[in-house]
Amino acid sequence: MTSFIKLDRVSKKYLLGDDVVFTALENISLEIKAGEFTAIIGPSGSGKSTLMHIIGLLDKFTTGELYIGDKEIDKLNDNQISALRNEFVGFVFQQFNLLPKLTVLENVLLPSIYTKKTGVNFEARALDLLKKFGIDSKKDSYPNKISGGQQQRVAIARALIMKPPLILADEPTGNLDSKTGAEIIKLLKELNVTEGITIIVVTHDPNIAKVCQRKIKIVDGKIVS
Amino acid sequence: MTYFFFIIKSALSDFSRNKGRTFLTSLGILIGVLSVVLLTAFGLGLKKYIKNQFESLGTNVVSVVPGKLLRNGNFQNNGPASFGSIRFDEKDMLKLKRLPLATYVSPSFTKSVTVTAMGNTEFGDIYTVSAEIFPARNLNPEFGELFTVEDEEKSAKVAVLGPKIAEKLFLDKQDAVGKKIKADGISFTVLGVLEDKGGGGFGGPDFDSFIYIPYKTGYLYNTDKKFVAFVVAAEDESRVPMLKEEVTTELLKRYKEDDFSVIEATEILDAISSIFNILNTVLTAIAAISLVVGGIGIMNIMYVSVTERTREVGIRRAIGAKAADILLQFLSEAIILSLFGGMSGLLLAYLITLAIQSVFPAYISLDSVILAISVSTGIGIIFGVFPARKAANLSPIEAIRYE
Repeated sequence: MTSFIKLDRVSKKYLLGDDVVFTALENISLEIKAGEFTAIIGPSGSGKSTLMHIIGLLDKFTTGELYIGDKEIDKLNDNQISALRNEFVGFVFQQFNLLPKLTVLENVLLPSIYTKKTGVNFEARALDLLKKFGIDSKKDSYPNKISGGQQQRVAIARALIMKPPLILADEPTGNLDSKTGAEIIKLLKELNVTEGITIIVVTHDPNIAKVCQRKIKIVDGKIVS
Repeated sequence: MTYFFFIIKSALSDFSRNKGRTFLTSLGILIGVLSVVLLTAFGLGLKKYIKNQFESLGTNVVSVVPGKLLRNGNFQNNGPASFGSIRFDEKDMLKLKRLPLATYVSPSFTKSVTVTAMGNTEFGDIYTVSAEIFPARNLNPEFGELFTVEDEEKSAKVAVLGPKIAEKLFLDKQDAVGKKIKADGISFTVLGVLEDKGGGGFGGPDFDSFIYIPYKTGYLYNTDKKFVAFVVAAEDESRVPMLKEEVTTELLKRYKEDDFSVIEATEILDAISSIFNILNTVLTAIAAISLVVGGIGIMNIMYVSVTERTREVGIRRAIGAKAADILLQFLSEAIILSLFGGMSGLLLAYLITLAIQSVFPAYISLDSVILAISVSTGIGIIFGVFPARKAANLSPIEAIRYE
């Protein structure tokens, strides 16, 4: 199998004023293979989150090329990119980013309403995931009624509902105490080992970085190691 | 299915979080739909009422009047001015009676009088006619009997009362039969009282308030023996156009074309209807302005909602919602909001027409229901599409970072 994700001299620049350009990422070339558990580390403001957003197709890059599987992202339109986000990537955020008006179960099911896939019993799959993560008793609760650790499990269940081959986690333990954070990391590691899901974690927590096979360190928009 | 369930649930939960705001926003549409539907209901009710009244007077009847009353189906501007130009006489009546299609012919002349009976004094209208007016206009006695051709020939001082004037003079209509009334100093014996025809008001003739006397007796008031109109009845409605032609041909032998009009009840009805239609359209158009104002209210609140929920849009985009999905979500909310206002307005209009039914014949047609639904949906779409597009065009990453 060739590269799962490939970045070729990808740069991200912002125009701040009329002639002031801020370079968030500069000539990043990177390959990630299927099944890898990768940590992107670096100080805040280094561009590591921007890199993750570009890989997750949430943000656009200025120059360079990005391949996801055999698809060249530059050649896709917004609808195709949305479909790819839906089926290929699962996001886990520091802020959990659950919708407060929907129940736990509805939050987990949310990605499934935007797919064209039919014939899948998403509800059964969602209940399965909630059970596996030990929060099936909370399926009808609203996010503000459950703990931070539980919310992040719901978010991971939501990330998994479409069975994506890739999970992107942006500081997934940043809002959790260390014990709960460790549990979340353990969960991600398990998914990587048992399901073979490729996982990229953006973090500055050395404890997370320890469990990753590969670490990419970014400083000032450049890969330094 | 689930897709729309999620969209509707999302809309409804947003509304229930902002109950006051939702109510105030849809109030604009409510008032707009309410006023449009009510005005249409009043217009239709009035038209229906007038139509019924005309139909109760017989659809097989033509009226002959002096002057040109209608031109191109509308009332003439100077109609009343040319009204007095000629007067018909008994010679005309005899000629009309000889027409093969004229089943009944009655001349008419009216005079306002002061009537006294049993010590009561009222203002009334003497209506001098022939006995043939009763079958022509489909008028039947409720009490007593009608006067006859013999009464006419004898110039008998007899009268038949409309039910309203009978009630005014005698309190109990039944008591009127056989009693004397005095109209401008001339005494009449009441032969009978007519059945209630309804009507009057809105400028139409009030047949229930007339005092019917034989036309030859009427010469006591009508000293030059001239008539202001004829009522000519055909055997049935289908012969009315032919009858009209016959009457016109006959009268043209003596009068010029502009001197008289031969009109059907339906023509007058059409002319009145066209006036009402114009009035109704203008009023409805004015009321429709409030719908536009309501729509602007929806647009305003949808912009607020998009801003408040920027982060939600970002999350939805991150998990795979297309720009079109976001557009549809916000558009649906605007439509639901507008429809909610529209339906409430319709319901309120229905309750109001129900409440005033006994006083005013307002009537909500299926057309106005369909109109209310489609207009409020349309307003939701028109005024919702700009805020919804704003939401759809948000950059996913900027939206998800929005605090």
